[in-house]
Amino acid sequence: MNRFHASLLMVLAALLVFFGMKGGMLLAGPPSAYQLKTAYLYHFTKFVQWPATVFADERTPFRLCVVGVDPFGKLLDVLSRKKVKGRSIVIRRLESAAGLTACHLLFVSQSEEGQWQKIFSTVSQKPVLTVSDTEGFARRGGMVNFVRIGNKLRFEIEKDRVAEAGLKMSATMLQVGQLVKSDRGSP
Amino acid sequence: MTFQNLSIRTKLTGMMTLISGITLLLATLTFTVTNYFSEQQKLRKDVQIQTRIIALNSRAALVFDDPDTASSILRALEPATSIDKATLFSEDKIIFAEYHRNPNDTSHAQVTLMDKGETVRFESDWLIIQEEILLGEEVVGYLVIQANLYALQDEIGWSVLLGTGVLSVALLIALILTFWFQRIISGPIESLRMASIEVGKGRFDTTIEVDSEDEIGQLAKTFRKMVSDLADQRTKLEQATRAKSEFLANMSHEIRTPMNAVIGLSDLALQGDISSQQRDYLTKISNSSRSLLRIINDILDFSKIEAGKLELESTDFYLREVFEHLSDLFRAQTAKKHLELILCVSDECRYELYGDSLRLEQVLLNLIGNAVKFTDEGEIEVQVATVEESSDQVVLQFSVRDTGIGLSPEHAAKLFTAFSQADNSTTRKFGGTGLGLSISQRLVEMMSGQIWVESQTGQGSTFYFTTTFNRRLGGEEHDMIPPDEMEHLRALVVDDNQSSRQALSRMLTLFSFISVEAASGPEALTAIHLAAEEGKPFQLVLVDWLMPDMDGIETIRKINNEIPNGNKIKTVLLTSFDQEESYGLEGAEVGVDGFVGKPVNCSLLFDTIMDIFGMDVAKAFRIRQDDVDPTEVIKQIGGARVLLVEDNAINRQVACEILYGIGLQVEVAEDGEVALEKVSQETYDVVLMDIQMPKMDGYEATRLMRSDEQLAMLPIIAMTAHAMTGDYEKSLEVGMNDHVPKPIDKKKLYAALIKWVRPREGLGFSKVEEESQPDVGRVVPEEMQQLSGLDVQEALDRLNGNDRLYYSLLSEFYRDYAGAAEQIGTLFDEGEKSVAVASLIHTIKGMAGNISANELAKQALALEKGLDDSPDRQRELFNLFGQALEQVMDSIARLKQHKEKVEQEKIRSVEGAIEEEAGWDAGEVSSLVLLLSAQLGGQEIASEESFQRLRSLLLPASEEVQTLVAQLGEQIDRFDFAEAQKSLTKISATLALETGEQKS
Repeated sequence: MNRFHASLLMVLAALLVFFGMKGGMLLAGPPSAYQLKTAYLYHFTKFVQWPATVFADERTPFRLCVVGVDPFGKLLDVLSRKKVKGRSIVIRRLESAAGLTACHLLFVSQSEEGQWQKIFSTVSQKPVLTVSDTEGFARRGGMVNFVRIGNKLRFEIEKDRVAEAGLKMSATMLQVGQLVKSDRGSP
Repeated sequence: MTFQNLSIRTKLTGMMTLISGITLLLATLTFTVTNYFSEQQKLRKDVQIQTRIIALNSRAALVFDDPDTASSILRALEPATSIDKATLFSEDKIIFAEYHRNPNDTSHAQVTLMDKGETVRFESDWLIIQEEILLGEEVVGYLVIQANLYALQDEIGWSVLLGTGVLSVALLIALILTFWFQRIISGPIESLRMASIEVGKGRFDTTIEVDSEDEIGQLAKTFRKMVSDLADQRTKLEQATRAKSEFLANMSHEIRTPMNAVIGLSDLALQGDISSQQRDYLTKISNSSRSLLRIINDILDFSKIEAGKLELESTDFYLREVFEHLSDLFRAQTAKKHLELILCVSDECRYELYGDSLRLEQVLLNLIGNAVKFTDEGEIEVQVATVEESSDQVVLQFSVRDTGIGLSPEHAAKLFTAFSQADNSTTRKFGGTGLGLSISQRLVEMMSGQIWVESQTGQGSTFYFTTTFNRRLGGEEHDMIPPDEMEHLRALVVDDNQSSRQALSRMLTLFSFISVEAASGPEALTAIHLAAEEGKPFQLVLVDWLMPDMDGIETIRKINNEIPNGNKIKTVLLTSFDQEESYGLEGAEVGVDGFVGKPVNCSLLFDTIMDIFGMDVAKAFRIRQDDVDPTEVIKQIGGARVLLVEDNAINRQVACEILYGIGLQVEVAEDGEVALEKVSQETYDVVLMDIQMPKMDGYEATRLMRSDEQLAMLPIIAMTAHAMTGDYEKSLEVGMNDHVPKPIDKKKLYAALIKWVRPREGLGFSKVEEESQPDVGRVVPEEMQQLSGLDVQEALDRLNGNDRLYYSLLSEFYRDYAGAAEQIGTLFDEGEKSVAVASLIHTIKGMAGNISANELAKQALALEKGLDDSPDRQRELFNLFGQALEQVMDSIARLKQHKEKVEQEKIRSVEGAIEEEAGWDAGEVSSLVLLLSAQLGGQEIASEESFQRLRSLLLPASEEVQTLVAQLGEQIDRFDFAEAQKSLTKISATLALETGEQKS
């Protein structure tokens, strides 16, 4: 009973956070593209399963990294108050490819278009979900790439890459995303 | 019909069907309901699973805002036909994606989210399931799936249909089984019931087919025993009843034999020459014995009814004849008590009815008899009315009203119970058996009617009864219809008694006359005056003789003398019993045209009216069969040969005397065997046959006679006791033609003889007289040889030489008409003539013919014809008639004197002889006399032997005795046993006298 209450309270709290955020966004007009993308990033964590080995122990935080020029600004910091499967989220903004492997989710900024080769080779075969909003990202070695279709924010998925990285992506997410194939073979 | 009244069979079937029905219904219901709930549960689970799957699958679409994908996920529900609609709401409860099985169906387009707690809801035809869609711990949306219950309902529908089908089949099977099984129980009950019905109908031999050993089997066993006990009892009872009936029949026979003798012999004795004192005694004996006979008949009738043996005989009859007979029967009685007896004749009297008129008459006789008995002054009125009428049946209601002592309600209540009269004191005062009303009631009930009484103490009583008769439509009698010119004749009825007046008025109306009533002489005179003034004069006036203030004769005198043209009005005087003779003279004097005795006999009234108006129409008054005059018999069948078959000597004697009295030749046979022998040797005109006889009874004798072709047409008349054995029916069955009741009723015997003796050459004395002269040579007794005015020879020829009969006819004539000349003379002296005179002369003419007073007959005829001639001529004719009558009367007087003298002389000579000698063995003589008497009674030939011995014994007796013995011998030779008996009686009387003298 107590446990049930506790979980219920937590759900309520989460909702409040989400709505609060959304409410704030509503007040500020329609959500911006990066607001949506922030939310999507957070949701991605729920449809993807990382191997247990990536976390040292229970207290190991979930690391969300942005490499290159951070397009989110302070938006991402909202996520630092959230949790992924009980783990707190740590936002890391990285200048270069160094330390990429410690990330669980890596957002590759548009500014890094020239650095993809380097980044991909670094995280190759590592359980790091790579996400970007740069055209051709998923076709050229990335895993998930935000695209705009009409007025909707969609994303492309290169599921082979995801599988190579040892990540398990939920079928429902695959359903929603647009599956693409990488131009090159195996990195 | 309540359940209680249903047959056990129906009850059992009903109960068993009901029980199995309820059981089956409950089972089917449970099955259906359980099925419904389990199906529902299944559906819910199915839909819940689907909801859960869809919810899980649609999370990504929800969070990544992809309605298209969501829609396609929802479309995955397509194969689930029960799901009509699925709606996906976003986390902010806005419709995100929708799915409709039937896109055109908008009926439930509006799907709303339910309160949070509610996840499953049944809503009329729908099952709605709502699922929160969670992503981790966040609610990302809601899924509402709406499933229809059609499949479930179909399922349930099928299940109900199947259940009903199974139920029906099961019920049918249950019914059939029940029907088979209930027969095991109700079958025996039913056969027991059928058996009890049969037994109830009196069929005690009914077999009861129940063989089981259960309760019903035991019941059947007990019932069987009861029935057999009952059958035994009934057999015993029947035997007892039969024994009782036979006893009564025998008793009746035994009683009738002496009664026959008493009545017959006292009547015969009354015909002879006897002193007035003896006449008085004999009359009383005769009347008492008739009363006794009536009582016996009542008791026998009652026993017969009690035994259920009384049967009605149906014949055609007219009610009028019954009424007229009743009025004749009661005329004397009512006159004696000065009672007015009114028999109201109405249209009903013309009906030709079919039924038992004698029993109807018996009931009326009883009621009128009672009324007469209990009424001291006033009137008795008998009425009849139609209560109900159909094409062939009529229900008549008769009423007998009197002004007698009446009845108290208590008495009226128990009046119809047997052996009860109003009270015991009544019995003491008025006598009677108290059976009359009880018998009447039963008779009425047998005629499909009822009888009741309305009465108050001191106010008189009215007895009512109804009867049903078959009616012959179109069978109305056509008598009593006057000729056309007399239709609507105006008539006045003058009578102080209202009921009588009305009854008379009704009769006149029946004749189509217009009738007016007047209550007294003065009133009548006024009415006649008024009518004359109005120009509608009366043509006929009926006046009652006995009225206060102004009597009938005075009234008629005034009509004739004081009213202008009054003598043109025809008048009829209504007289009481026997007054016609006494007042005929006075009536004729004042100009009465006709007399009618009260109670007024409808047809006699009609005939009288027709007579005085000089109309020649058919006489309405018919002589009843049993009112036949003996002279009529003599005229028609005198000389007929009769064989009398009768075992009882006294009965034989009575019958012989009666038959001799009407000039018949009688031969006797004491039993059937002798009768058979006689009919084979000689020819008879008729056989009178007793039923109960030793050796061979009447039935057997008749049967044997009928088997002989030559005797097939021989009239055989049974002499039956009016008893219980159904003698009459049986006698007809064996071929007898008719029956006369015993004790012999002379009138009925005459009627039967006239009916059955066929006319032939030589029968009937009138014919002899007219057609042929008989052989001369009859022995005319000495004393009859010198009778001027009488042709004795001719008379004796006609009477077959029966001088005794002739003498009795002469005596009767002398007795009845000795004063006739003076009577008629007085009327002539007054210069009047009347119906009375004419009828008297007419009668004398007829009687004169009978006794061969030919001169008198001639003169009477002349006078009768000359009644309309001039007074001088009439006077002349009357003188001649008077002389002839006187001559005849003188002759008869002389003859009578002579006869009496001879008798006296005989007695005297006997007395003289007694003094002379007396030397015979008195003991042997008296035993011989007894023996001979018995032999004569039995009509045995052996009597000849006894006679010879007696004669030899009596040789020393007086001359008187010798004469008698010689007579006896002749009589025995002639087989005239009746006369022989008389002679024997005389001999024994003479001897006794002589012996007595001797001893003293």
